[in-house]
Amino acid sequence: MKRAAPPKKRQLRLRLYVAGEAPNSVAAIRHLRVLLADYPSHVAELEIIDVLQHPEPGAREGVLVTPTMIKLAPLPERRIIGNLKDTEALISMLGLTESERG
Amino acid sequence: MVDGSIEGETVVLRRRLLEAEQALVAFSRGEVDAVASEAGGTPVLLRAAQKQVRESERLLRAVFDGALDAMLLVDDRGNYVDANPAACELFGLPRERLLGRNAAEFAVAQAGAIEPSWESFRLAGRMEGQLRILRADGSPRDLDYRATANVLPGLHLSLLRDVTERRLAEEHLRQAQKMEAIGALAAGVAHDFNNLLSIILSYTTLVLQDLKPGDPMHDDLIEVCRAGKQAADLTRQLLAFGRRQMLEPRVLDLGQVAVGMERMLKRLLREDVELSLFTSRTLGRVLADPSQVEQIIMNLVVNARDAMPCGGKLSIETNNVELDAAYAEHHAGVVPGHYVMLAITDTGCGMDAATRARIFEPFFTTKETGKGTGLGLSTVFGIVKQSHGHVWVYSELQVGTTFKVYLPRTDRLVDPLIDTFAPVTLRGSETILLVEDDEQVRAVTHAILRRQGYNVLDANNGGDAFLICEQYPAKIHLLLTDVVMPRMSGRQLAERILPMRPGLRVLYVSGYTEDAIVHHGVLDAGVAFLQKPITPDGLCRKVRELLDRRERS
Repeated sequence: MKRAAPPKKRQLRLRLYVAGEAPNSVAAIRHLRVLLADYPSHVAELEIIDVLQHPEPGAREGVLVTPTMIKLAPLPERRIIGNLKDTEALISMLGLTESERG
Repeated sequence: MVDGSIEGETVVLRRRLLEAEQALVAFSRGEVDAVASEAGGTPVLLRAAQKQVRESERLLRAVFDGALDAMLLVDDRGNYVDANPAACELFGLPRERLLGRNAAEFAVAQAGAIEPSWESFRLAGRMEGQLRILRADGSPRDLDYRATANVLPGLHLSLLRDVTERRLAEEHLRQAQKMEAIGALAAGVAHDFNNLLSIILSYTTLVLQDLKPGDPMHDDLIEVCRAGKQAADLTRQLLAFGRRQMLEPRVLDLGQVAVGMERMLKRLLREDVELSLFTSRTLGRVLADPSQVEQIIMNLVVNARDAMPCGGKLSIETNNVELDAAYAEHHAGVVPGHYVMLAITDTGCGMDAATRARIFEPFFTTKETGKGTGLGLSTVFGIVKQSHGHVWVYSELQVGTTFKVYLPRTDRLVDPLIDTFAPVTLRGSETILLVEDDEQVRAVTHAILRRQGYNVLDANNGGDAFLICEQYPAKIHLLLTDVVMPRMSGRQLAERILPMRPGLRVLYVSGYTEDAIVHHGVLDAGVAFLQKPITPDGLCRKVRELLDRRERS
């Protein structure tokens, strides 16, 4: 007998490249956190990499500038550049919908 | 999945391109903090770089805006794209009217100047030199410039320094030094010349006196005399130019001197020249030799007349003026203070700059050969300088010329003119001690005085003269001495003899003098002086006058 599965939380895997305490980097982290807090239905795995301390991963991934955020999952992989102030663009890139907003 | 195929690579490239575009958009919004470094090392932090850029920009802006020199950014076509306040001031234009103009619009072509070429400039990367521009108000400015190519892509930095005032001051100084040198040379020549003329004129006169009436040589000798006197005139003018002639300054009203000459000047001028005279009632006094001032006016008026062959207007004006420190700064040798100005203006043909630069040089003349000696203005220059004054000329071709003579003002009252009396006879029997180091001059002087009956004691230097004074048993009435002699000057000799021989009169003779009896060529009051070249008549008159004056007083 199949047990009805509880509504599964959707998974987001994000990687944000920042440059130390630089203003746009700080702003990008803040904007992202504020947005994710609005969507409790999603489980976000957020990895923040400071390119000043760890330049290699960014170089490997061909990151041109910081802040750059890469959506690793769900696929397809997408990138967004800037301080993430543009919430509309961020929502559409992450594939979120208004109805999911909590 | 993206594989190694051409399609796969295209997809990767397209994605990279898209990302680069996004990066640029973010960058333009100021949303980028760091940029990946080329070698894959630590990315470059933009903020820090921006801050440095902003700081150096602020510093450069302060330098640009605050610089005393003009700074301009010029594009490849020579158009001004930026200008600092000093540049606007230099060109006499507000910034918005200066920008967009071309450098060539302001440059004045100068004879002999090498035109800078863009090509060589861009190749060398640097260029410097001199140029002249016309300001917006039309006045020329002389500039030193230095240009650096491509300080920004396609933009060149041009630094300009206004050196007009400095050039002018340098030019004045150079001119003053040149005149000084020529003056010294002229005076040196005149000095030796005077001794020779003394001999020529004196012996000729003596021979003339000895000739029997109707002697065929009489007329020839008269010609020799005349030529000698003309030569003496020339040397006198050379000395005046060299500021080595004796001046007997008195307190004068320049206006009165000019008014006193008016009739004579009118005779000098043709009818088609209208003479007008303006003098101020409250005109200050000057200390100058009246005959020299007359000479100045004469020479300037004659020049003015010759500049107006078809007639015109000639005005003589006197006024009080103050030459301030700013004026002195730009005119070499001017001491700031109160002056009396004598201006002589004509409406004649004027002079170009090249002529103007040389007019005070002796023997420089624009008149036809034989018409002018080229000494008129140099005489004026010499007299004015020796009187501590200044002379400047302003001239425009086809408009006219103004000469301005400035003499320092004095607070002293006008001296009354002292009447000189003419001696009745030139003969005498008094004893004269003659001191002269030039043997020929001494011989001829001796001969002249002997002829008139005087008892003459000869000495060729101060030491000999001193010995004679000690040993001569009878009275010596007059010491007739050259001023400039080796070892002991005439002045020193007189000072040593006078205590031994009280009542001795002293007559100084000289072509010019450096010190001794004068200060800068100006006689002390009461000193008797005879200007070389000696002529029998002049010498005997002066000697008689002096001996008689002694007996009267």
